[in-house]
Amino acid sequence: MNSIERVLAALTFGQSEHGIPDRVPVFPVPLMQGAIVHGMTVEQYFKSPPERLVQAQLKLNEMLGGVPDAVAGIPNVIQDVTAFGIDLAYHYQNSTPATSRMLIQGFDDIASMGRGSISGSKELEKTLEVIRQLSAKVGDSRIVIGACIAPFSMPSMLMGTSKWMRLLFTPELKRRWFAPIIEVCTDFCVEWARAQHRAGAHVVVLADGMASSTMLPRRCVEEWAIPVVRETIARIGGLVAYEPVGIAEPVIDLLADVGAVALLIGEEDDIARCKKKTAGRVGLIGNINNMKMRRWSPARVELKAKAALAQGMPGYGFILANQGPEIPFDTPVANIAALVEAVEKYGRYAPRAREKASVEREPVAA
Amino acid sequence: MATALEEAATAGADLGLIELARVELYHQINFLRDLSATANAIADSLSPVEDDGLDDGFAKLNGDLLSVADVVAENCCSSLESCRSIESLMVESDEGRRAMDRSLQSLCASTSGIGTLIQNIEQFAERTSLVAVNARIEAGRAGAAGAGFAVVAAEVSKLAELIAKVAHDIKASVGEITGGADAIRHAVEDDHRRAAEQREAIGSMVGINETLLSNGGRLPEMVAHLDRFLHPLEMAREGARHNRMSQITIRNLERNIEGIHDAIQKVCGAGASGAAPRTLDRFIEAFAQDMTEGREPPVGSMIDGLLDAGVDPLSALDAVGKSVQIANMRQKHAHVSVGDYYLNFLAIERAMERLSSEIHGGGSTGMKVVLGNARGDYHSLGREMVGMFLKASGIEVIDVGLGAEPERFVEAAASSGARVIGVSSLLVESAKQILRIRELLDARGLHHVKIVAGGACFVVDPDFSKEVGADYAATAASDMVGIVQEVYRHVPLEGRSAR
Repeated sequence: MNSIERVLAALTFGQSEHGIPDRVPVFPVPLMQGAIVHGMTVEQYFKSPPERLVQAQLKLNEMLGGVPDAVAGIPNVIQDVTAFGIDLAYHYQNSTPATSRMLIQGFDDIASMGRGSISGSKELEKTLEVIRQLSAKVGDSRIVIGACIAPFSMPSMLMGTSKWMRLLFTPELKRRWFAPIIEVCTDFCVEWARAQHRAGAHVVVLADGMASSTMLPRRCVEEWAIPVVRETIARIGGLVAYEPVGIAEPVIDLLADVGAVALLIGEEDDIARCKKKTAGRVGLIGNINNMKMRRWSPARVELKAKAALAQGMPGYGFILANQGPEIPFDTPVANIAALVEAVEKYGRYAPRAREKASVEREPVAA
Repeated sequence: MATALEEAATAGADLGLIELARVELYHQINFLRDLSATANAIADSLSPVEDDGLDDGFAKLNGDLLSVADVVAENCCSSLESCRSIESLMVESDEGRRAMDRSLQSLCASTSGIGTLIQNIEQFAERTSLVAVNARIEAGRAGAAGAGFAVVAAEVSKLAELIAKVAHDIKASVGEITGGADAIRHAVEDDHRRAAEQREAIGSMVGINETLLSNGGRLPEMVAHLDRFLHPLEMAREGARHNRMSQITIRNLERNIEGIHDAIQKVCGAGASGAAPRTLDRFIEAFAQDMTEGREPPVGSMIDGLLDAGVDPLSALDAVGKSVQIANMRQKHAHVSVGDYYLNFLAIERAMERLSSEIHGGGSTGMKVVLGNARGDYHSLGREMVGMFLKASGIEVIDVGLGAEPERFVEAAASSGARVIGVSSLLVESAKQILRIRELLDARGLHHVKIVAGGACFVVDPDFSKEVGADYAATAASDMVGIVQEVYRHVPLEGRSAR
């Protein structure tokens, strides 16, 4: 069973043509660690030609024993702001970049903001090239992951989270400006996700840092974010994994029906309860604490992964991963390896169960 | 003599002022009696908390509260004693005033005697004139016989006797007048001495009164101080309930809370309106409840209601701050989002906007915090919310803004005297700037300045704060107020305390 088959088997809860998965798939997200492969800084790595990023992702997969079921085609999601003419700023050599300025200084600027253009951004063009090359290299042996900032969260990148919150929580501002800016951001997000799919990404992660229970009360997620997410995923058309970046459990019943193939959950979310609440409607990806992974021993990472697997494995529909967005740069590679190896040790489904599942499925297939 | 009378008149004028001062003194004494009674009421209303699980911080809090009440009572008693001594001095002054009045009456009587003497002298002059006329007539006749001069001589002799008697009487009267004047002078001198003493006493009284008035003026401050104890007690009670501590502890906490409520009501009752505390209580509960349940409270109308009820603007703002803290605390027991905190933030912001025109300075606890986003961090939301919560709690915020270099944090702390630096950071590398801030603080000998780390990476991993050398981690926007209060109240200035 290759990675594509395994992931499909997992996310369809054993109902795909591939039957049930042989083991739990694993998606570590080592975006910055490519710099280690090349012996350069993160800034140099992110600015290097597409081939370097492709080489690094493949090498990382190899370093981790070829176990990870996915490779990442994107260096970070912050780069999405470059589509709106905003440069990236590197304040540290080994960290993700930040936006160099806010596009929207006053709410009136929304009326005149541009639509967002992939072709106007050398970073996004390069990412498409990375995805194309990765896709060509891995074929169907690995999942190629793309990502983009969700339209409900993009405004916080363009005007700052504080201003976006003020707009959301001030009725007169929301009435005037919410629809126009969400329209622009949705259009761009759909275009950008489709482009990644066309370049070869099997699944695009929709990163929605503003739509989790960490950021908003449930009623706000339900009224403001969910309709936008649902429309966006529907318009994208391809496979989308949705990441509310933070605590998902209090709203996971709402997120289960937005059309995503999987949800990325946070470290504080209880996997078993989330599985129960979603009831097979959507797969779950998660949820090892990426910040704590920095300082845990490999043995502790393994134990945490084992515990997560014990909750996530039953009934399928689970992929082991670090919680979003990515693994911090100074995390020991041995810790990432421990996370990955855990699926081999503790994440295998019994062959008999697989056979039984296969037999039970036959009448359905017939 | 005229000088003596002028002095007497001046003394009389002084006495009039003293009389006014005495009336004022009685008012002050009555005020002090009320104040003292109130202070005693505060002390009496507090019940000691049994040590069955409460932490040292609360025990100290309770001790502080009793101390405050003791200080008020002691101050009032001391002031009362001073005022009573002044009052007895004033009674002596009254005796002096009456003695001087008697001297003045005597002087007036003597003056009246001098008038009679003048009349006698006038009669003497008339009679002498008649003698002179008769002597000339008789002298004309003397040529014939000079016998008539014998009669004239006899009359002149009688006049001489009369003159001698008048001279004696005048001498006696002058003596009386002089004596009277001397008596007046002495009386005036005595009165001046007493007046000087009284003026000095009045000066002291003014000083004491200023202290008393200051104490009286401090009354709202003391009430606010009591009020500040109220919130931690309420927090402790909520914590005790949440942690299922013993019923005895909870009851003791409740008794203390009620005691403070009563004391505050009594103090306010001694001054302005006794209804204000109850109005504030209702306001705090309603405001906190709205925010706890995610409803935006009708800030404008609620604050107008407070002001209409006679609550001063600073107390109104303080009530908003307390409401938010209670809401934050209640929300923390359940799941709470940044958006919930943001609603609280907006409520405070609107309250402050509403009250800004009513408040002119004051309301500060004297606590200061330097707040900023670390270099490379441009996520202002958390910093802005924390800043607003701090301000609403009377804590001064020195905001160094977004992407601040470590040097800027340290310089701001050094120049402002702030004992806490709050560093917000979303990303790991930005958060590591705290290490540099600690280095700079140590290099400048600012070991007593504590660093609080906040931001997403510390929410996900609070222990990361230790790695970067922070003293505390604030994992929610509402944590900062409690941390700052703890640093200012319980952490010694010398050296660094345990985390």
